[in-house]
Amino acid sequence: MRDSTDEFIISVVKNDKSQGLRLIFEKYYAMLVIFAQKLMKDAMVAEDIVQDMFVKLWNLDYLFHLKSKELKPYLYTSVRNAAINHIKRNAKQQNNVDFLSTEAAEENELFDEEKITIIYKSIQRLPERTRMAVEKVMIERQKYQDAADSMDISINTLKYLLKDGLKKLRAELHSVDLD
Amino acid sequence: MDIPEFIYDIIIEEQEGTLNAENKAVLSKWLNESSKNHEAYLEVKSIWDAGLVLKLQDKDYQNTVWDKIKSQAPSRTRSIKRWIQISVAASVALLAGVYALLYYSKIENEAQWAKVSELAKAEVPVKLVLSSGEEIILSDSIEKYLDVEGSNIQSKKGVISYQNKKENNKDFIAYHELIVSKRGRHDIQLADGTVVNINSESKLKYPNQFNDSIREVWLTGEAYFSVAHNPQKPFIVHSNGFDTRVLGTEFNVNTYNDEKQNTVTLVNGSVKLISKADSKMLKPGYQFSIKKGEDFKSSEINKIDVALYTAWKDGILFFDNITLEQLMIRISRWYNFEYQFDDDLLKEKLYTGGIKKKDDLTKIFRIIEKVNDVKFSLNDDLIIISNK
Repeated sequence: MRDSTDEFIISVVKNDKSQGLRLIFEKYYAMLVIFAQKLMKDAMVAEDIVQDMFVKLWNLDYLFHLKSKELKPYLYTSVRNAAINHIKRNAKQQNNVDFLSTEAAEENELFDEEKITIIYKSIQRLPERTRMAVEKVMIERQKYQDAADSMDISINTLKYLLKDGLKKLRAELHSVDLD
Repeated sequence: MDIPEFIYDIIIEEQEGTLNAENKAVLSKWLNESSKNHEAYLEVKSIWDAGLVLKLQDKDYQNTVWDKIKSQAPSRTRSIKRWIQISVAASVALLAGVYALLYYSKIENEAQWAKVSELAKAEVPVKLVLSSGEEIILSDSIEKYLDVEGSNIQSKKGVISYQNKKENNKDFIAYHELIVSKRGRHDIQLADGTVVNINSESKLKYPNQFNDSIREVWLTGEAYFSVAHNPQKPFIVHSNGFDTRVLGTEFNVNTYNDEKQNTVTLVNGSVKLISKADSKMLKPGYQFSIKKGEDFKSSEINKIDVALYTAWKDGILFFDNITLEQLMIRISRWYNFEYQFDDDLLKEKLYTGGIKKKDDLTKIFRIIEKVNDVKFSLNDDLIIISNK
């Protein structure tokens, strides 16, 4: 299903905040988490940050005054600020932060629907054990040890399967002309 | 560009967050060797990120996350209450005599009315709930073609229509529900060709295809039915307290909870009203009415002007001697605004007249003001109804 346009989303927000926020969530949640993850280097923390931002959006009336073309920059800026605040609060994590990656991230080249679809289909075609490892670790984001345990294999075997998966997925991507 | 095995190993460790300093140095050395290396590295990372995107885009997963977000958000009613309190406090302050503000507030007031009128008219999407529980938002301005649960559904310019596929399995009947919120209006053509005009704040539940013996739908709120004639398959509208059974006809069913009575108005054909214990036949031009909270036995059948009760589907509301309280309930079902009576006695004033949905809210209020000796004013976005 296609995502709503920002013009439409803003008009819904003005009418029914809850429904409008849901549309924003459906369209932007994944993108914003990926963006936050680039800053935080941790998908879990990235999700927390984006979820907190949505909770805050319920309380703010700022959205009502937003023009449609301001929506996307507003969301990204909010997530970036929240991420930076989070980092400041947890000074320990400072070392893990790669601020350089914020530049390109907004463009989100890798968030290419077509590419995601190819990867999704390619994952379905992987040999079974490779596919399981890839799904558990890359999609479900399970810890390596947990994924290995649930498959009854050693962590080294799991890593081997992940490597196999990455190689095959990369080959698949190259066999399709993305342009 | 091939990536050496040990680089794959290092990337996998990096993703796990267990990359040691030694391997980190190996990685950056390799990355600095050529831009090709750097590209290949980013590509592998993008595949890894794609996995996360797949997780984040998963509908079930999104529903779980959304529930979590909602549970942390403040409830709407609480915020409205607080907002009214603030508005009331503000109006008290104003009455206390901040005269200097009055001049400015007049100019601001006009701008505020324009804003309220504009917001009142904004497009309202409707929600289609599938039997799987999946919710699809549909709007007038966006055409959509869906292929779900064995049906082709088209949504175009405020009309949803169902076409069942030829190869359809008759054993699989999915129940869908169309939810039209406040201010909304939507039409639907069911699988048998029956057209239902659904009014604001109403819900219609129906099967995506009808079985061989009966056509059944469930209504909350108000809808106008033009039932496709089929003597072999009666059409039944289930609503709170009674059922309306027909073979093919046009009629209006009003079962709003906040109305003093529920009605079924027959335009042509014939319908039968059925409750657990009793049934009544209705002739064209007549209206069945049942007072809120009373049982079927005390229901009445009266001759009425059908236009008064069915014109809403063409964008006109007629009011025949209804109280201002009922009037505001009906208008606010069509337009997006919050209101408050300054004096409870005002609620009992009677109003007769019509409004067009296209009309500006300001214009509608000016007309009511002229007829009824009341005054509509604004306090922020809240409309206050007071004595003239």
